[in-house]
Order: sequence, then structure tokens, then C-alpha cells
Amino acid sequence: MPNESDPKKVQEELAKKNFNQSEKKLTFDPTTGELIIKSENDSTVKPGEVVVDQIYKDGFFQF
Amino acid sequence: MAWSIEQQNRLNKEWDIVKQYFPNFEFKYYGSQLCLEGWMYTNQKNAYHLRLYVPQDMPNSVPEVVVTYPYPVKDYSGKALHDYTYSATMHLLSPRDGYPKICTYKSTHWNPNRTFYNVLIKTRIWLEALDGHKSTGQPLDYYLKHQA
Repeated sequence: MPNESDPKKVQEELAKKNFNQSEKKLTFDPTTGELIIKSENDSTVKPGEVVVDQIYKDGFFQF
Repeated sequence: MAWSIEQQNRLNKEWDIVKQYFPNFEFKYYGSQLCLEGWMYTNQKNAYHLRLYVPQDMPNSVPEVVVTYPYPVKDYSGKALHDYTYSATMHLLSPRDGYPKICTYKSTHWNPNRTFYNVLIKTRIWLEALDGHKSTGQPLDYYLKHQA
């Protein structure tokens, strides 16, 4: 499965992560500024690319 | 603002990390308020200008982040985000300097080991969710997990 940076696919994957239905990992590529969806077992990494799943899982402030 | 030696050292470390991941960001003073500003581009290539306010007690409290461009930032229905005042579903806090302020970390979930990098990555994810909201009308908490 290719890496996915299509905006709609990334946004759909964020929603899946919110509902604990995602089996993919979220990375950030600082050379393009893009968020990328990858298979968990995909070990290819671009220079500087970083997995940001944990920061997503930390959650966002709730009142 | 006079920074302690420890804070100056910390700012240097923060800068080392930020320039690696967000190379167009730079420090800027507004009066005595130190800020970190720069552009982020979403996967849809929408441009947003962000301002992170460096807390005076850094690194002991959460840096606040606002969107300064576009102004106003509008939601799916055309409502300005700063007019929400605050919103749990849109992950917004009370505006600062007239700009919409993004929910990142709850103060009780903050610790001094967290960095500006952590806050900026959250901001980047928030922007992607905002683009999703603008396309679908779903609130941001459809895309973003609430902090427990």
C-alpha cells in the first residue's frame, strides 16, 4: 500500500483514529510540511520524517 | 522580559528543535512578549500563519497558539472562528489579541518536558482537521481526540 498524503484520505484517517478504528500510523514530513498516513509495518522513512501518532493520541484540550 | 540562564538555555534547545521541523518559524518580540511565528501549509496547500506565545514562566506552562492568517479564519458556514469565543467541539479557547486560539494541551496535562515542537505538531494536526471541517462541515472533534 503506498504512503498516503491525499488530504481527504488523511482527514478520514484522523477521524478513524478518533474512533479507534485506524491501523495506520501518522507521520510528519518537515521537508514538505505534509502529514502522511502509512501502514504500521512500513519502515521507509524520508530524512527528517517523524511519527506523530503519540502526539495525536495525547488528545486535544477539552473543557 | 528578562530570561533566566536556565530559560535562555531552554530557548536555545527549543530553537534547535523547531528549526529542524518548522524551518520558516522565527522568534519575534511584541513589546516584552516573545513569540514564535511562522507559516504552515496543510496537505491541501492552504497557508496558515501561526503565533506561539512563549510563556514568561517557560517551560512550566502551556504556550498559547493563535492563527493570525487568514483573518478572519472562517468555519464551514462562514462564521469567524474568533466569534466562537470558545468551543469544545471546535477545539477553540478564548481568542487572544483578537485571533482564534487553538486547544492544544490542558494545563493539567502539561509538564516541562514537553516542547514547542509538541505544540506545533498538534497545531499542524489541528489545521488538517480544520481543512476537513471546511470540506465536510463535521466539527473538529470529529477528527481530533479529546484529552481525557
